[in-house]
Amino acid sequence: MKRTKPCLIPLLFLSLAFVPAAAQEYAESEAFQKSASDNSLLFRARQALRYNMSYDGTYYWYSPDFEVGGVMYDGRWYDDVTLNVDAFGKQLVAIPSPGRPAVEIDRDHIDFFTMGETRFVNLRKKGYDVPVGFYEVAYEGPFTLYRVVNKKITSDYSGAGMTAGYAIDSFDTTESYYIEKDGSIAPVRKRKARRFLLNPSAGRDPGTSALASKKAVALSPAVSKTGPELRIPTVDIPSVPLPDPAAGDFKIGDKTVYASLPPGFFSDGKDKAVDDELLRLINAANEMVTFANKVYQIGQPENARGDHAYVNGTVRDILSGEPITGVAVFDDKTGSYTMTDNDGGFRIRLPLGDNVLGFSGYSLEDLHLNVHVDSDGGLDVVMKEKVTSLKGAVVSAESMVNHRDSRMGIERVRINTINKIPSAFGEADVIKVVLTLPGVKSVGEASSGFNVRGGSSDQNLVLFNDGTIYNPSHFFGIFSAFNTDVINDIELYKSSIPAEFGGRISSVLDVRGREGNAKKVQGSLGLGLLTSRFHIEGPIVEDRTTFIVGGRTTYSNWIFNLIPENSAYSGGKASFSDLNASVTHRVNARNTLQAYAYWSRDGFSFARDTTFRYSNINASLKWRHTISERTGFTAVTGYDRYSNIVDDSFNDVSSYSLATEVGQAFLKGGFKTVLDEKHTLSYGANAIYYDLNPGHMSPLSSVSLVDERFLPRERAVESALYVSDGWKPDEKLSVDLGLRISAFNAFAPSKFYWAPELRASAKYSFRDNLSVKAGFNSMSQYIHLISNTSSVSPMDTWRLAGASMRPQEGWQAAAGLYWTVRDNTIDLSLETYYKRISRSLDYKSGAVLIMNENLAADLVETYGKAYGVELMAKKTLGKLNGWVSYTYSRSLLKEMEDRGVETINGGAWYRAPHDKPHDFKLVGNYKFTHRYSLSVNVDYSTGRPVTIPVAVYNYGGGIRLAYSTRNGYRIPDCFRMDMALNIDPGHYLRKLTHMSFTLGVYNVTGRKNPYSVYYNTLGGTSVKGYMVSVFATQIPYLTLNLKFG
Amino acid sequence: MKKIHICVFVLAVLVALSAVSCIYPFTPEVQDGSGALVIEGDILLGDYTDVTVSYTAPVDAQAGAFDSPACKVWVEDEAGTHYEGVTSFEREGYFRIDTRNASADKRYRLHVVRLDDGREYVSGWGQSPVVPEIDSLSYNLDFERSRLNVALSMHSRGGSFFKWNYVEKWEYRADYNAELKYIPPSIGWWGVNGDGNIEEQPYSERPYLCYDTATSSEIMIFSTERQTDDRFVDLEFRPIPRDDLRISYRYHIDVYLEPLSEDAYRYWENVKANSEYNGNLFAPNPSEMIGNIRCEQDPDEMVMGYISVTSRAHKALLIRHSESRFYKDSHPYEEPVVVNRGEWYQYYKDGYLPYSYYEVPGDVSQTYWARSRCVDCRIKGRGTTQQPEDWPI
Repeated sequence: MKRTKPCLIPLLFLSLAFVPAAAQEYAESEAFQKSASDNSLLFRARQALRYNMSYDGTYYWYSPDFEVGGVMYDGRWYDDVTLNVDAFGKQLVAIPSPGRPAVEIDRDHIDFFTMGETRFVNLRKKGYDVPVGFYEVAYEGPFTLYRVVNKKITSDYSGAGMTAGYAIDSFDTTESYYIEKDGSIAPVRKRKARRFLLNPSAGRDPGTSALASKKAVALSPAVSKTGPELRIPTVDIPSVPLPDPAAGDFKIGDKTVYASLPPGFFSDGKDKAVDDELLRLINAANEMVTFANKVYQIGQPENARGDHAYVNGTVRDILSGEPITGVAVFDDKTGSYTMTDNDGGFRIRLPLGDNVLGFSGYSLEDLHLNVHVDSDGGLDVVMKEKVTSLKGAVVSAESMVNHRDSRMGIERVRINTINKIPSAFGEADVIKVVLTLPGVKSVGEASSGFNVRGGSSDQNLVLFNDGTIYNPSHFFGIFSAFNTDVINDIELYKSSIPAEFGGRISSVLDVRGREGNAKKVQGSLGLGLLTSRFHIEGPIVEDRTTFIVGGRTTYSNWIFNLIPENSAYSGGKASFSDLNASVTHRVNARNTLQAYAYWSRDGFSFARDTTFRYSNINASLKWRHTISERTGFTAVTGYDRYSNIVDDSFNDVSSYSLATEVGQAFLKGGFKTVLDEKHTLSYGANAIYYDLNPGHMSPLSSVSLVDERFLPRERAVESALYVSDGWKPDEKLSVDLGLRISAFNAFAPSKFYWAPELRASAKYSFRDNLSVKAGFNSMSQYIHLISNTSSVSPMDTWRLAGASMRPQEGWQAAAGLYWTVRDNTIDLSLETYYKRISRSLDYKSGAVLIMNENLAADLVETYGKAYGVELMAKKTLGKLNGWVSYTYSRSLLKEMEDRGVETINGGAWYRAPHDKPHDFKLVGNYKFTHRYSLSVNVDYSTGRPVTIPVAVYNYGGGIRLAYSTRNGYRIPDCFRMDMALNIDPGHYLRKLTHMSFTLGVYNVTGRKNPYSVYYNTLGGTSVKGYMVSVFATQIPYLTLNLKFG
Repeated sequence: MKKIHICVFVLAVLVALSAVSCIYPFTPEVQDGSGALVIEGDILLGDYTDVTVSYTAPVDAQAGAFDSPACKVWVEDEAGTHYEGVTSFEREGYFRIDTRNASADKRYRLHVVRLDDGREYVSGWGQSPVVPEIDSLSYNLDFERSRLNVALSMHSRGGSFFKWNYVEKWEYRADYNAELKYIPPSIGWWGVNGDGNIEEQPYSERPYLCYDTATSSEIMIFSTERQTDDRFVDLEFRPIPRDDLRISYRYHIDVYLEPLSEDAYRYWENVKANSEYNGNLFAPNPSEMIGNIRCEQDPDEMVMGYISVTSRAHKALLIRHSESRFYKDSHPYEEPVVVNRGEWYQYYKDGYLPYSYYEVPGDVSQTYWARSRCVDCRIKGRGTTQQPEDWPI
């Protein structure tokens, strides 16, 4: 016993070397030592290169499956080793024991090895001056025929300069053959060799003549005699007792065993980077490849100040070179953590020296980079889309984002998910996707706008590349205003709203467009039932200036020909178009400029009588500047306009045109500074100048008696200063504290409001995968949407707060529990919230909402109260992914003032139009293969509240309806299931066009979901109730998308 | 008003879009909201004031099922003069008050006292706004949409809110002036007794010319508050389809236009919107109806109705088919049939009636028969052959 204990120590050291760096724990190493047993000497090697597997082939010789074999290593035979050959790196890779990372066995010491029945020879060690690598013995007889499998990377690699990340690895396979006879070796023609191997007994010559040619290489005379015997020995190696390491280096046979590891042993990745052989191969392929286990040098030692440094950079997509938002960047050692911002930028504080920097984002392959930090510096990173492994689950750190960020109620959806969710008429739709998230509701199936956690739809700030979209829907809400071709991702803030956002009290929906491919020009065409769209993008100057342009239009007027000719609506028309354009220019590493424009138009008309038009215009210019490695600055300025016009020509004499408009010019500036690894500071200011035309009525014809009238324009400045600190005292606790001071100055009549807004959230992690969070935030809103409809109607007008209308205010308190289970593949969350709103506007009975100079007198201020629980399970990875959620929530309103008998609902709480307590949602996607996937969307909710007649009475010559209390009843519950089969293009990388299909069915069960109820008193004799179901049966659709470039 | 249009339109679009939408009956369990008092009747200065008092009824009630409490009704002016209401014995809850001599410069209000529990309901004081003048009542022919539009033009010297209603009276004719009348056989327990009889009928009894009448059930209001002038020109308010019997012969329409106060206008606008509300998400939601009648004993009691004090302008229009030549019968022409004796009952059951002898006058063995609606105007429309009193035509 006394002897064995010291013996273990060197083994321990050795075992530590088998796995990289420090992650090895004592108990594990002991277990490993046992399993590695005799072969441990063999495995004293560096960790094998892990190429990031792509769909196009393997870098292994034949297959990625390892086989059991034996290795002749420096004349010693090691049996029972799990092996494979890395045909790209020309290395023999072995797995020491199950579950261990593969190691590379030192090639220079390998004489030959077997894998299953196949034998491979290291001909260089044998003494031939042939290309490095192993030669598979394909035939042995009077001569020996060797086969060599070469893997070549035909890949694109993104980024210039110091850019780290993945290569697009598609391994192309080529084969070559060599013939060896009598101490001479020569390459032979592949065709001949293959023909021979097909039937060796036929005696066809595989090319022996090559041995006589100039290409033949003779065995180097020095080793020809002493080369190892290429026969598998049958004797076991006797175990050698290991000497005491305390005595220093010792010898086993003629090899020296070191009692301590040489300096730099652990930083094996560094050695890789200078692996000449590998570099030669890479250069031969004329490709530049970086690997996850290379070490990236950041900064210069002479610039080092203190013991920490700041690293900043941009994360971009490998294929398109576009920045990626919302990627978690973290250093596990110090717990430093940050997320990439809207422009893909990140900055993080790291200790000097070696660090492993992790990058993780939804649907992206995780990346771990070894960085050696000497001083402040930059690191641009490329990441790539995850190709879902069909063989098993891939573990990702993405799930852990929930446990790192203290903010809550944030939902991010990337465009590929958006495109997969089935929708009516097959048009991928941002707003419809938002509606699949827990806590988000709409009043009905075909309605515009959405409601977040009980708020009304005007309380959502909808931003599209920093511009405010006042009406995010087309075509009465069947389509949204966003062309998915030009969108990168969306982010919905339901609870913790960052201090940089303000002006709305319920939520922020941040829709971010793409910058365009920085590598090549490409585009797409989409054909749908009602709409078609296109987009084109590409570099103007490669990797510096990119553009993206997209547009959509309808050809829906054919629909109206279906309306019966005698109906009052025959001859009606409806159409919409939109256009996006953006140009991004990277001035230099520190400055990026982006110009962006958006335009949309909707028009619809009744037969001759009335036309409605509305339009959104946004234009902005954004400057992104890196002040230092610690501080970034972003400034955006722009102009947004929403306008609508109604032309009524029902009667010539009273025909009119009514126009309203919201115009705003804005300027935002924000800084982000990493103070130290515990504090990240955001601060800045925004200002919006509003110029509203609340109503301009003018006669439409020369005979019209309508008086031209303007409501006084409303002008105001809304400004805000904010500061917020992300504080991470330790790994378990993190706190976000923000303060926003918003101020509103209305002109003529002048009125000033201001309010401090608090944004706070905190997280505590019990374990890596179990956290609790709590948050509180208060918000102010200085603009109201004046509406008396259940859904946002294009007729609704926006009005500013001012002398007669007070701003809306609200606060929300929320708490949540987050638990990630099943190898970090399933996120479970429970969030609960309580929200209060005040001075939200409702209308009095008989209110006149248009062209009303004294509008405030027709409106009433209400209190709002909303609360709920949201349960969600989300699986982001694997063949089956998606989310399922259940929400219980209520949303109630109450008039603030008592107006006696006129008070809505007698002054008691009444249901908001979107109060739908139970809500179950499921979004699922199952990948059969890389090309085929099936998407399912299930939605169940309680019916929306309605005000319905409870009595009838005879009045004014007919039967009239007397209604219940406001929203006193509900329509029946809704249930809908949609399915879609997505067929993606095959992976023909060099093909010019790619066609993808989506074949789907909306409302698979054909359930007649109620859209609305109404009562008909026509005929004046009796009343009948009816329910309308808009999509009352299965609606199949087929969408084609053509991508080119 | 336009919002309502939008929503119907949206619905139409959605319906067309999907071509799969459907409409089906909806009868939720609702709390019974019946039993609230409804008081209707504008105080018409210079005319009779007609007041009805009724209850609201359950949603599934049929017309005529509106009960009324026993009441006493009168109009009071600010000098304290009472104009007593007279109960009509034919219509329950209907009262007529003689306000022909009430002058326009006083304020008036209505009192209703329930005789069962003594509760008293009083409307707000009101004074008649300036009475507008009807400039013209005309019609135009819309061939494209196959309808005749009756249009109203008016002007007012003050006042921007107007309501009008109309009474339609029309005559129409059967296609054949039937000189014969079929008397069906009696039916005993054993079956049909014979084939019935055909008799000649005197000119005065022939169901050839019918009279029909209707009143407006739609609420027609208009506001000129946004116009330079308090008038409207050729406002089409009554579209009559081209195949409507109303315009097949002689059509007469009386239009009564009255000015409203703004409050009253909003009330009617609300009643209109609530009744035409179609549940669409883009339609204004129904809103509370706050009238101007309060219960003296319980101010919180919900009373439906708004009593205006007003006077009305009147105009009538007669449209003859001989002038307009617009009516087009939508039924295809069918050849009359010659029916032999013995086939009468069979043809009668198939919906035919005799109208003329075949060849020999007085010989009923062979007679001309035609579809009953072509022979009997009472079957063709819903009118009567008796000319009502005060028929204007």
